[in-house]
Amino acid sequence: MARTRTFDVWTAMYVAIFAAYAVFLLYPMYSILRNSVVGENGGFSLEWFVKFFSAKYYSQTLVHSFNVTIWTTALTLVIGVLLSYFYNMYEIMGKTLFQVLILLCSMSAPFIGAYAWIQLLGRAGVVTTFIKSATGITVPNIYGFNGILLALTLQLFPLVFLYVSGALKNIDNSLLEASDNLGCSGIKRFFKVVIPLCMPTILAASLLVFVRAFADFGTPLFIGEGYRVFPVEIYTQFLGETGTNFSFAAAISVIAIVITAVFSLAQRVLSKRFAFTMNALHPIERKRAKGPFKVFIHFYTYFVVGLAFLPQVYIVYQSFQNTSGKLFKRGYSLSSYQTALKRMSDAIPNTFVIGGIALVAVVLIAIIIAYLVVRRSTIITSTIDTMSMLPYIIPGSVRWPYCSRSRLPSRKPPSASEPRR
Amino acid sequence: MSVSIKIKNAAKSYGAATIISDLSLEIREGEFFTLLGPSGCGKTTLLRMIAGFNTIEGGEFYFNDRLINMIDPAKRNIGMVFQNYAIFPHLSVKQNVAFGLKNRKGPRALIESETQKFLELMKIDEYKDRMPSKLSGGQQQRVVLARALVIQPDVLLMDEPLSNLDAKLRVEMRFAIKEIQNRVGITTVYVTHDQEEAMAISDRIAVMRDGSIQQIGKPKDLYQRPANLFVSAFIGRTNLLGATLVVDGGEALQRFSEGFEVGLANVKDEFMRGQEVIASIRPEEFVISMDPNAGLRTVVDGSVFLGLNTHYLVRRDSAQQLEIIQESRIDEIIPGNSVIYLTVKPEKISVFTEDGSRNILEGVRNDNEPSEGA
Ligand SMILES: Nc1ncnc2c1ncn2[C@@H]1O[C@H](COP(=O)(O)OP(=O)(O)O)[C@@H](O)[C@H]1O
Ligand SMILES: [Mg+2]
Repeated sequence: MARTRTFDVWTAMYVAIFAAYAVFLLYPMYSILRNSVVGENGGFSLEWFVKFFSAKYYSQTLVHSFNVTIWTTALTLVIGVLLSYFYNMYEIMGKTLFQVLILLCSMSAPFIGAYAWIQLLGRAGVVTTFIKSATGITVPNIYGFNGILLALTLQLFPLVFLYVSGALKNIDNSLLEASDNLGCSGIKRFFKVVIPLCMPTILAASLLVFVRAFADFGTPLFIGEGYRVFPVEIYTQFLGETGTNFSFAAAISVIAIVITAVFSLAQRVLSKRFAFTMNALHPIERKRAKGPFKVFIHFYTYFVVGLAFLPQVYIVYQSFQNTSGKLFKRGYSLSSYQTALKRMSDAIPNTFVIGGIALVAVVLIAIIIAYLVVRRSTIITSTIDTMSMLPYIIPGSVRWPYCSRSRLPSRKPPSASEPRR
Repeated sequence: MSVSIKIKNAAKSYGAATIISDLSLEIREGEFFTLLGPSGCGKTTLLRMIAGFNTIEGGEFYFNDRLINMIDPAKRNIGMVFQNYAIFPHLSVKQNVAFGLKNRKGPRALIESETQKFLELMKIDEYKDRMPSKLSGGQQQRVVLARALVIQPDVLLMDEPLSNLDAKLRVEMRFAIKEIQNRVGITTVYVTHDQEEAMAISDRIAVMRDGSIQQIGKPKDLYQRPANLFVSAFIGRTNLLGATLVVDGGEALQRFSEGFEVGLANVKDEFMRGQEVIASIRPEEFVISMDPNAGLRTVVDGSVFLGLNTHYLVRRDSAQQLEIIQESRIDEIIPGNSVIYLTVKPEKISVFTEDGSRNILEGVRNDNEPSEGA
C-alpha cells in the first residue's frame, strides 16, 4: 500500500513539474519558434532569418554583440582569475573588507555601472570636466564599444572571482607543494597546475559571463549609443517605439537562443573533458608575499576592486545630493530618499513581496527537482534535469515579453531592469 | 647520488605553541630511516622542515656538508610522497610521473625513457594513459613513488604513505617500498605512527614523543632494550609491573608485591642501589608454571587460541591484568579460574627507573645519546 502511495505522490510531482515547464518554458519557446517562421503572408517562411542576415543593419548587431561578449569574457577571466589567485594565495591587507566589496559589486543592478560611468566619464562627467578644466586634455570617448566593455567587465569579473575562489579553495595544498617539490613553482606552477585544476570552474564561469554579457541590454542601452548590439535590437523589435514586427523579433530571438544553446553545450562538453574530482584535506595556506611582488598584488587588488566599486560609491554619493527636477544642485540632503519613498510607495514593497514569493518558490521547486534527479534516476528525471537548463539558454530580453505579457506586446516601457537569473 | 642528512638543534613553533624545541639527529647515506611516534608528536612537521615546506625557526639542516636551510624546496632535489598522494588529477599516470623531469631541461628522449623505466619499475606501465581517478589506492601509491623517484632525488621523504590503504595492501606495499628503496639505494626518511610497519621496513627508527626524540636504533634494539618506558610501551605490547630493586652484596634482584623475586645480572653500575622500579615484561617473556613456589601467583581470566600462539589474560592479587603469550602446546588450554604461577625470562625483560625515564639495564643502544651506546 505504502509503496503505491509514494508512487502516486511522486507521479503527481512529475506531472506538476512537467506542466510548469510546459507552460513557462516550452510553450513560450514553441510560440517564438512558430512565430519566427510565419511569413508576411501568413504562411511558412524563413524570410525573417533571411532579412536579418542579409541586411547589414541587423546582422551587424550580432557581430557587435560577439565583439562585446568575447572581449568581456576574456577580460573578466584575466582580471577575475588573477584577482582570486592573489587573494587566495597571499596575505592581502584588509582582505575581509575586500571580500565584502566584491560581493557588493557582484550584486549591483546590471545597468547601474553604465549609468555611473556616464556620470563620471561621460561627456559632462565629473572626471571628464575636472580633467578638462585642470589640464585641457579631453578624456577619450567612453560611449560605444569601450564603455560597454568597461561597464560589463567591471560588473561581471566578481562572478569569475567568486567562482574561481571556490575552485582554489578546493585545491589541496599538497598538490602545490608536490609541484614545488618537482621543480615547478611560481608563474610556471600557475599555468601548469593551478589553471588546469581550476579549468572546469573557469569554463563554467566563462559561460556564465558569456551569457550575461551577451544578453545584457541595460548597459548597451545606456552607454552604447551608436554601437548597436543584439539584445537591444531584440528589445527594440519587441517593445520599441518604432513599431514592432513580432515575427521578426521572434526570428532574432531564435537566433539568440541558438547561440546561447551552442555555447552552453560546448561548455558542458568541455567541462566533461576536464572533469576530475578533488577534495582538499589541507586547503591552501596563504603566504606572505615579499618585495615588489607584494606591492604589485596589493596595487592590483586595490585598483581593480576600487574601480569596480567606484560606481556604487558615486551612486550613493549622488543619492544624497539635492536635486531640482532632473538636475543635481549644490548641497546634500535626504530629499531624494523622501521622493523615492513617496513615488515608489508601491514599488518598494512589491520588490520585497515578489522577491520573497519567488525565493520560496525557487527553493521549493529546486529541492523537488534535485530530489527527483538525485534519488529517482530515470529517463523522466534526466529529461527534467535537461529542461532545468533551459532557462539558462534563453536570454532574458527574449524570455521576458513572452512570460510576462500576452502575445501582443504593449508599447509601455518595460520595467527598468532585466530579470536577474 | 644519495646523501646523509644531519639535523642540529632544530626548533619549530606555530605561533605560541612550540612543536619541536631542540632536536638533533643524523641519517646515514642510503639508509631507510623512520620517524615513529604517536599522532601529533611532530613527525610531519620535521619531515616538512627537511623538505623545505615549513620555515625553520632554529637549527641547521645539512645534506652531506651542504647547509640547506635557505634553499628553495624546488632546488633541494628531494623526492616527496605525501600522505594523501597529491597526484595531479588533471594529468594522466604517465604525465604525472614525467612531471618532474619535464620541469628540468633535458632531452625529450631521455625524459621518455626514464619515465618508461620507472613506470615499469613500479609496475604501472599498463595504466600509463589512465587518469588517476581511475586507479586503486595501491596503484596511486605506485604512481606517486615513481613520480618521486624518477627525478633521481638525493633524498626520498614519505609521510605515512600507506595510511590510506587497506590492511592487506598496506603489508604488500611495505615490501614494494622496501624493495625499491634497496634497489635505488636512496636515503629515505619515512614517517609512520604504526610501530609494526616501522619495524618491518626500517633500517633504523627514531621514536618521537612531543617533538623530541626518545631513542634511535635498529628495530631489534628498540624492542629488546628500549631506552625508556615510553619506547617500551609504544613498540610492541608489554605489561608494566611496579617492583622494588634490592641490592645486596653486589647482587641485584627485583621484588614484586607478592614476594616473588627475579635476579638481575645486568643492572648498570650507576643504578646499583635500592629503589622503586618499573619492570616492563612483554607477553612472551612470561613462563607459565604450576609450581606454587616458583613465581607470581595469578588467576586465569580467559584465553585465545591463535594456532601458533595461545594468549592468556590473567589477574594478579592486586587485580592488575597481565597478558601472556605462549607457544601453543599439544595438551589442554589452561581453563579459566585456574591458578597459575608466572616466572620471567630475566635476560629479556626491561627495568626502568620509577619515573620511567631511564632503562637501568645494560645493553641499551641509543644513537640519540652516543655516550650511552654499549
Ligand atoms: N600549520 C599548523 N599550524 C598550527 N599548528 C600545527 C600546524 N601543523 C601542525 N601543527 C601542530 O603541530 C603538532 C605536530 O603536528 P604534526 O607534525 O602534523 O604531527 P604528526 O605528523 O606527528 O602527527 C600538532 O600538535 C599539530 O596540531
Ligand atoms: Mg603527520
